[in-house]
Amino acid sequence: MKLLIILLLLTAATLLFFHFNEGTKIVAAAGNYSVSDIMSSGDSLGFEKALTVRKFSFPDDHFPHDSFRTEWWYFTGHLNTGDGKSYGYQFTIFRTALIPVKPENTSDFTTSQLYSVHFTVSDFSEEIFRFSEDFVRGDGNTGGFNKKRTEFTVNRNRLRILPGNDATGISDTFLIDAVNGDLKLSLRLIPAKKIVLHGDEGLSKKSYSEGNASYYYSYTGMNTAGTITTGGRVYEVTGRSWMDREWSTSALEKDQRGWDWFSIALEDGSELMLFKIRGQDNKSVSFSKGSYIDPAGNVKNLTASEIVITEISHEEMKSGHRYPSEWEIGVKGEDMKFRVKTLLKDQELLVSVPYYEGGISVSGEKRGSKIAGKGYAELTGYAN
Amino acid sequence: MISLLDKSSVRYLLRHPWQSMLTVLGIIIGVAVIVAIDIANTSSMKAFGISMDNVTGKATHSVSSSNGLIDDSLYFSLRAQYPDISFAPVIEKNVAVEEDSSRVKAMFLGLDPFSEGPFRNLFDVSGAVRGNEITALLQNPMSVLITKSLSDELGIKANDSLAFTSDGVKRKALVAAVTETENEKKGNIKEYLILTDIANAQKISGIYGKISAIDLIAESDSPALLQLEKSLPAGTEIVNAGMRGDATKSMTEAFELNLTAMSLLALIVGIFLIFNTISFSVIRRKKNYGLSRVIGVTGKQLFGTIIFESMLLAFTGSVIGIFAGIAAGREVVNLVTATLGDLYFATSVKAVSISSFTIIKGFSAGIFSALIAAAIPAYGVYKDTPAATLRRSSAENPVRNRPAKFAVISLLSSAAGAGILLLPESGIYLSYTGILFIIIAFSFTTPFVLKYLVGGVLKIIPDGRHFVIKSAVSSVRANMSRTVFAVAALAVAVSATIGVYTMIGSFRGTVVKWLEQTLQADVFISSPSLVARKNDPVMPESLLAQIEEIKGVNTLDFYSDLEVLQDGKIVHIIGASIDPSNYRRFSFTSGNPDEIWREYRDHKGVLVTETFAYKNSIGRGDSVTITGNSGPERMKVSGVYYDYSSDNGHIAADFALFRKLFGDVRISGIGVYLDKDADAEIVKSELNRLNSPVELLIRSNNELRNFSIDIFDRTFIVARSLQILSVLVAFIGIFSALMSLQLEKGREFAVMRSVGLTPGNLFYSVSVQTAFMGLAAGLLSVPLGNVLAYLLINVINKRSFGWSLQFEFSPEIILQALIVSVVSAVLAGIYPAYKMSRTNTAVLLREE
Repeated sequence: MKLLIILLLLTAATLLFFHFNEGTKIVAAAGNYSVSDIMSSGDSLGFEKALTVRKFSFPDDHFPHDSFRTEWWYFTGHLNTGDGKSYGYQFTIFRTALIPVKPENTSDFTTSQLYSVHFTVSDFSEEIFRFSEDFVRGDGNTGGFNKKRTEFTVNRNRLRILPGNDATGISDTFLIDAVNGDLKLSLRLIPAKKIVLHGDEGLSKKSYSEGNASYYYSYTGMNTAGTITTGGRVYEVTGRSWMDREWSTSALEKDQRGWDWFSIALEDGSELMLFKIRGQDNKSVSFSKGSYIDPAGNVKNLTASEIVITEISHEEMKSGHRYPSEWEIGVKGEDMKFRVKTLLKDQELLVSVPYYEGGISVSGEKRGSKIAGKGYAELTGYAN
Repeated sequence: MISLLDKSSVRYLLRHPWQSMLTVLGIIIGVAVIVAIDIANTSSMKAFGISMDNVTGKATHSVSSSNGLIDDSLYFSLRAQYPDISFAPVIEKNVAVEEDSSRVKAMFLGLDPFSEGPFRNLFDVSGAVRGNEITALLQNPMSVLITKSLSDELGIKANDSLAFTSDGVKRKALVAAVTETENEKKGNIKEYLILTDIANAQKISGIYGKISAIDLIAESDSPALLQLEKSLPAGTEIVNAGMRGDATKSMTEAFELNLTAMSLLALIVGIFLIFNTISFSVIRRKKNYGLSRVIGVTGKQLFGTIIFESMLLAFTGSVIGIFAGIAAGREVVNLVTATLGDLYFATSVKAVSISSFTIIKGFSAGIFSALIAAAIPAYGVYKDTPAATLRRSSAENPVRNRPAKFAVISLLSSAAGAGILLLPESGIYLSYTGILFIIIAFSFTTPFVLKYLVGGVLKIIPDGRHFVIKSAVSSVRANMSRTVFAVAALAVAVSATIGVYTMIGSFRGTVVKWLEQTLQADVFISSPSLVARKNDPVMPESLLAQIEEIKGVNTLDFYSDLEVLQDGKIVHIIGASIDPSNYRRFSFTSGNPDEIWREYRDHKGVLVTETFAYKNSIGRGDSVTITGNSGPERMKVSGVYYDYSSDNGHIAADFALFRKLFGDVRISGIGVYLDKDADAEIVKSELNRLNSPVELLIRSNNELRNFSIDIFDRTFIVARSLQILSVLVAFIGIFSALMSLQLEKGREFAVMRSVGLTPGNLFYSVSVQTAFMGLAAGLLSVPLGNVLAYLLINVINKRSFGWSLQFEFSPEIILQALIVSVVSAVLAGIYPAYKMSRTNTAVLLREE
């Protein structure tokens, strides 16, 4: 009997030996790259750079500038349903030139451009944040900017630009169709305020060296209406959006880690765009800048000395990454001082390059009187 | 008490290392064969699965067309129209990569890395932003990635140029980087892939605006998919992913089955060997067991000990056998993969897969056959009285005195075997059971045959002469309980080698005759193909006119060859233009050839091969479906003809009809018939100067015939290795059984020595006896071997392939069988004879 057991055990051991030798699974590690990896000069040979002030013209400048390495169409906004639900959303189309020149190939698939989309919805009422990322080759047939120059598609996501009848861009209309599983967003955005050119007439420096800059303009206030579909239900929504347009080849220095960027819309119809670029230690401020747009649409550049952005508290995300979650922001020249808080704890996009893009609430004082507002914060360089 | 008995049993085994070793060796070979063949089967299927996976990935469906190309604009419009469905474009080609003198079959895959996400994981998309191999691919539209296996195999590295042939055209690309696939990282798998961006793929293969297929992911009955299906343009269709793979795989079904069948035959021989060695090792020790019973060991205890001992041997043999099988399996995998590549499809993946199931199968075969083998004699020991167990004659009596009883068993068994084999619809496993019964039937004639053979020999030798021979031969009959097992085992093992050899020989003979009849043209033109047995349709029709103009060319036969996926099956359709003067190349199973050809020419019917008719259960006068560009069409089967070119068979239609069905087609092969007075060499050199867009392979009649026979021989490498293994099994069987038998007879020899036999006489006596037994086994194996061959040809082969083969008796294998039997038998006697001649006879005699 004993021997029978021994034999059985030996048999089992033999079988197990062979079983486990069948091959072990290797889980592929997705490539994680840091913001400074991608946004620093790197191998920028052959790409055009934002070196000098240029003349913008619309609607043409709404469309891609393929000779620059990176470009984006960045929409964020706050939306409300009739029955009191409130949402925040981000819809961004990124264009990345993988190589400077279009390959010599007559294939319909030929391209040097990669388009991607990031789409998020923050359901502030239910405290749910959803994000998605999608890629498409920018050959104009598969996706990207179509050959008729009317729309961008990244798989099921679409941005249509309906040019208006004047060169200021004020009468242009933007249509967003975003899909992430059963979550759908369909919006029509109409500029309520004129285009804002940031920095030096749209040349926005990100560091003190030559060429580390982007061309940067925004629609800081856009009336927004449309539908949001979630959980099989369609909600009519209205609200206000902000669109950022930026293109560049290299923006960050090697010693710059990432940025904290804020877009704030105050109740009185004025807006603020502020950013600070952090050093590699993630604390020191390497560069900061901003714009103040008064209710009438007049822009005032804010310099580093005028902007104070102090982090008050941090939160750890589900991913384990730590991001600031509350700030004290002051703009000296305009006599403004606010408490800024994220509206949802975790609004991190765990995409190829993880970052935080989330709705914020703003409360404080402007020229002595209490004021509140809403906005979006973008926090990069914290994940790597 | 049990443990003491068990210990004594282990000690016995250790004291008789030769017998124990041979028993274990028998089990090792039996188990190893099962494991090796199983590994070869599962590995080649795994490799096939992986290569199909590379093509289909996680796609649920695929849009494709019968000529293998679709417009990429269809892809773009489907993407736009059906946003809820994921799509990915695919360019897929089997290619041959040439570097120096080596030629490797690889798969060329053009994909859009950025649409690949839901489908395959061959690219690191997120890395592209920072710059990786995808960026490298975009930088040079002629660049590709190659897998590590391909790089290792050919010594090609990044920045080297890569030459390969696809669709008969030589192409060049630049290697941007070497990539290691997930499968390669797992080890044991080699993938030969050339990967590139879809835009590069169009440029490199010169098919701007075209792709091979559109992969998609959608739920099978979703409204969007149904709508998509309806909206597809003519000539394109949607197929379930995996359907093409399954269909391709099913082409190899018969081959796989046959391989399994061969391993079953090896298994039968192996089990028989295990059975014999074990039961023999029990029988020869009946005396020991009897003594144990006398001193008080119970029958139950002995039963346990016998089982334990056999299990010990079986376990040792099975474990070693598994390792030996794995080692052999790696070699067999290469043979099988090469054969599949020669016959069915280009394989770009090599894998060695050792599944738990394989191990369990081999292990169980070893353990259970030993268990059954031991249980039968052990039960006898358990049941019998100690006295009966001690008396060996009680074992001998039934065997020696009642051959009639054995004859009855033999008759019943052969009746059962024949009954099973005559069942019209029985599958291959059942057929093998039938064969097993036939083998058993033959084994049971052994006592009968031995008895009369001994009697015959004794009668031939005059009285009073050749005493040593007489006593040696009659001792075979006297020790029937042992000799019968040995002789029967040998006969079975040897007959298996005769059976397989004769089967292959008959097959080959039939194919050679068929080739002589079919290959009549003086010169053959095709383009180098990836799958040896198939010619790819790549030559333009314009070549025909060029050839006809060459002086000395009389007539041309030519054909085009398509594999069409219809109703989930890949159907081989040939469009052949045959000059009426060459109709004699074909023989029909029935019907009036003139009538058949008239219908063929008038497009009133098509021809099918014998194998096609068999596989699809159709015959002359029935109809077949051919799905052409404008949908399925029913055609009458005018005739069924003999063809040995592929086991799946094909449909042959007149070329003009074929072109009407499939539109723009290309030529796969051209047979050139020369004028009587033309010089073949001059014509060949003219043909070599033809202005052809594709590479041409120009072969003389002899060259093609030899090439075809070569492929045939390659196909049977595995079967031949099994046959050689059977010879080895036979040899070991004979050797071990006879050696044990002689070693057991120490006392008998001592008596012989004491009555005056010299060591030389003794040596002579042992050799005569073993040679006699070897001869008896050899003689028995001749009829059984030929019966086996007959069954393999007319039952197994017919049922798996549907081929009619001419049975060819092979005298050389019979001679070989006799030589193997006698030589191994004589060799087996040498050691015992040597040992006996040196032993002190007094010691052996003193035992009682």
